[in-house]
Amino acid sequence: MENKFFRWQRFKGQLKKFVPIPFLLGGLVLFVFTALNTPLIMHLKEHTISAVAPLIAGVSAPLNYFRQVGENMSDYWHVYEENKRLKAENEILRDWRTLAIKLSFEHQELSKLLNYQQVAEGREYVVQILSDYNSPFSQSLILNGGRNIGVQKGDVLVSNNGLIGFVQSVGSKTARALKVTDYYARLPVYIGVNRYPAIMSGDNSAFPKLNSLPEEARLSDGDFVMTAGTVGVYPAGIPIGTVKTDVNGELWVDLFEKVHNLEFVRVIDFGLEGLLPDTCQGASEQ
Amino acid sequence: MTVNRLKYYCLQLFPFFLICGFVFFKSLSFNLFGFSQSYLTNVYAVIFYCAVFNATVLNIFTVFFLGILTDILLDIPFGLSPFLYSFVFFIGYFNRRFLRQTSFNKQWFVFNGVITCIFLFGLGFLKFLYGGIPHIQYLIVEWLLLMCCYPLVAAVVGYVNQRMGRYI
Repeated sequence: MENKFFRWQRFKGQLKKFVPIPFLLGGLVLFVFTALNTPLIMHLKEHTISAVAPLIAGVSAPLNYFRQVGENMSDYWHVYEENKRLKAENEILRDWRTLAIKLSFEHQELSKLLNYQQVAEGREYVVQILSDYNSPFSQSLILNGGRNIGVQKGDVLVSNNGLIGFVQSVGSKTARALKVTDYYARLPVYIGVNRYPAIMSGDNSAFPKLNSLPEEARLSDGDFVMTAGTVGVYPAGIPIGTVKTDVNGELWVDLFEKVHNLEFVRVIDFGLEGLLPDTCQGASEQ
Repeated sequence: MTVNRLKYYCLQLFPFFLICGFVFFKSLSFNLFGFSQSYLTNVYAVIFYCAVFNATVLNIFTVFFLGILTDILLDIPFGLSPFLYSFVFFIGYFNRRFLRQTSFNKQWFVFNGVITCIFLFGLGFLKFLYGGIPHIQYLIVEWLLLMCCYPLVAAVVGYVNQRMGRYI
């Protein structure tokens, strides 16, 4: 009897040594079968992020304060050069303002003549960024506001400089937004004064690529890139960046907004419904 | 007696909170050096050290749970971190149970080997997913930093491990 007991204890001890193996295999199975973002995983992520959002916001607050202090000190250091640059820029902007006023009158007159219907302006929120994922796997943002403030899937993220991305999924208190630099971001754009159509595709680097250009397109560095608004996700005419050519002749976009280290963004709901609903949501509606 | 027990529990939870701290810091809205976040974090060093020198403070259940938390907070493909964390724990545990290489230099050597395997696995996975490896220069820097930082992380966790011994 005693012998059996000790044998059992020894067996248990031996068995204990191999405890990590099922977990290792479990991890592998989980990785292989759920690496793609299934709706279940997306919901799990949304709920968890919403739950820990106050904690992230609390930890971020003092760090953001120190960053602000650092930026202020840097601004004081460069105040003379910055003042000179702003004066020069102001001169140019005055000329542009005169031109803009003139064009605005012209636009109004022509709109009246053509009986053109103005596109309605969207609802707008200013939302704090909780997390900025800048990893080789994804380029996304976590916003400190979700269904509680009216953020919806497909809302557009912009800053003062230009387009940043769009809202991909919405939780109760947070939302996840995909940046235009993300690998899965594909966007129809117009380039230059000739408005050549193209597809801008992210590759998780800071400079998205330009693809599917028409053969007759002749582009040069510095040509303006803006949204085409043809698929009903982004409205037309939002500035994105300028064209940049590398040594191999490939075309890239130098973004106006560097989509990195942002603190606040404007989330605009243009009421466009070009994005497909979530798989499970779509199924339940059917 | 109760205070000592409380201190003991706090110190026992230290690696868990240290890992959570690393993950939270990576998930904040900015990073100090402008590096991109990647799958290579100091978490591996903590897990490896604990698996080798004191597996009771950070068991495989906790490691697996922390992996899931990392994937959710850092937006890494779901399941990657639990697998890699379990792998690191398994190597550390295997080393302690079967090879019994307790010399620190040898452990460091083994850790560097494990991290190199993970680094190469990650590169292969990125290549498979995207057909290219974005931010490779940052990944190389993080890989080298992680290998060099192991003694530092081991010193901190080891110090806490030593302190904990006083309250048993």
